[in-house]
Amino acid sequence: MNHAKIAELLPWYVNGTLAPAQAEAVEKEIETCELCASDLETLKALQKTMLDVEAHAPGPSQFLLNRTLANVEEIERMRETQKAGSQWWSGLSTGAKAAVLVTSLALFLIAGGTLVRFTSAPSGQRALPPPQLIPVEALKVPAPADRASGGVAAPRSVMEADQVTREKSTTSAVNKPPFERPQIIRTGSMSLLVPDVEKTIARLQEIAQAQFGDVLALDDTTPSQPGERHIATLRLSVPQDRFTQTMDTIAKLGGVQTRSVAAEDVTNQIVDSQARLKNLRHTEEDLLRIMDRQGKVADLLDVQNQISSTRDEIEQLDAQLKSMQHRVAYSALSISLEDEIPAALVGPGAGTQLGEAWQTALRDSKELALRIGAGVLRVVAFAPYWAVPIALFWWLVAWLRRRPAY
Amino acid sequence: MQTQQASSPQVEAQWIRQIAKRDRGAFEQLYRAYERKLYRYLLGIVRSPELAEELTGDVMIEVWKNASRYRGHAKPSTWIFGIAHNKGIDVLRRRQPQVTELHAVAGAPDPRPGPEAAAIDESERREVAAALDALSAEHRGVLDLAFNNGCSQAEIAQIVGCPINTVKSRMFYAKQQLRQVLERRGFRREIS
Repeated sequence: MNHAKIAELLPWYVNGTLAPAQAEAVEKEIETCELCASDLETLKALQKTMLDVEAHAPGPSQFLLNRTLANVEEIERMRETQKAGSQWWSGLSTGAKAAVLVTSLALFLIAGGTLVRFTSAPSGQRALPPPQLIPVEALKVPAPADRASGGVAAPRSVMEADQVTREKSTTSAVNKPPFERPQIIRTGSMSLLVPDVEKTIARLQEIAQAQFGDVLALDDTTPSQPGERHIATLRLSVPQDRFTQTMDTIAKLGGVQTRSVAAEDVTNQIVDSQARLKNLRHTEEDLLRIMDRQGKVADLLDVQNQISSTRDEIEQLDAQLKSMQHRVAYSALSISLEDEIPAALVGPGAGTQLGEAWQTALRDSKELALRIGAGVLRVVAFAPYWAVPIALFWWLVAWLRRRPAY
Repeated sequence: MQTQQASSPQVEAQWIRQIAKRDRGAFEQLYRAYERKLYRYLLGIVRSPELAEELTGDVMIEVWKNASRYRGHAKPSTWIFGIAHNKGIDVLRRRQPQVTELHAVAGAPDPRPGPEAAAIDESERREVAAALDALSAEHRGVLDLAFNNGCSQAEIAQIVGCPINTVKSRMFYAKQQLRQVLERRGFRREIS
């Protein structure tokens, strides 16, 4: 074996995978060839450094194992479902199987005969064209190179693409977000008796802002009658990690009447939605690829419709997912506030009463003046009706006075 | 995180047989033995930590689904790395990556400190890691399989699906380019 051949073997001499005869040849060469000996040392150093680099390099996420195991369980669940579906057949005896086959064949022939009768054209009439089938070639998904040794076949047709899509949905756990903790929607409610509702509302707004949240709604009902209490209801939204802290802070604002916290674990829903979303996006990509291929107009229109409905589903699901993630990230708090002292117990003062009396008198005086003015106007407006009789009466009286007495 | 477990090919082959019988425990053991190796190997191909992680999970799922097809003609590592290689290359082909030209990297100005820093272990590690990253996926893969995973010429040929002579030539060019890149980056402490 010459120097060049030995040099080619050196990396595998270093990793110890050479056959004994080859290893022996390398050792002999090293003893006599300084170049080979130098190369060998270089390769040993390279291996050492590479192993060191690998030892210090970051590995995959610690959540990958759980995601993969969850994926495995999903695959097994689907496998069991498919198995259960086929068990009814294997559970039948040979005679029963034969009976089912004969019955199926008979039904097929009857149905086939019926179809033949329906589709046969009467003499003199043109036969209907056969139903248009979507050519598989036109709907083929461009397949990446087959790598059979990996056991992963590329999709070859729409049906296979669909199968692959389903497989993608089962392997979608790989793309699940690495949740460090369950995805929980927290909601809380609290009712408080407070000394001053208005001040408490202002304080709650400050608390919400300090916790990087916000006031989503405010319903403030001020008392209109003595004896009523000032009541207000607020809806706050605060980051989930500040939920408990916010509840505790709010509880200090007054006397807590009721306090409740509810939690809903939506981890599975989020993961499922993400998986379905990814699956739909893959489907959309596949359909778009199909659109790029030439085919019959009817087939392309059909694909176009499928793309449209897939896009609708994607948008709907995306919105749902975002809403759910927002509800996880931000907890909703419903706070009811009520005055400790009813409005009746705080009567109006003397100044208030005098002021109210003056205001009432002014209002009444204005009203009277207006009514008088209105009356005068009415009299003026009806002048033609009362002025003419008065004038006639006046003239009659004057005429009677001027008439000579007989 | 649990550390990677050392295991022999016989033990791994036994795990795969158990996985074929739906043994979750065996799957978890095999996963732990290969998780890091696969991730690092795939990272060398796809150059994206997220994608490498996703593919690592995909490879293990393939192992779970196809364990019954493993006949034991090849070492378990050859079979598993073969799946990983195919998945990584498929992704590369679909993604049409911008492969970094080695000479372009070698010709670029060196933004790193001078050769003095090469005496520091951490710096040395970074230099070698960067030089490895500058290699093409094929050359990086051969070096990785040979030195990090102890694969023979025949096994590498089986994994990457090429003749043994191609493996040898890839190894030759990988060494040559690695040396050039290291020298160009000011890495004076030779790996020899």
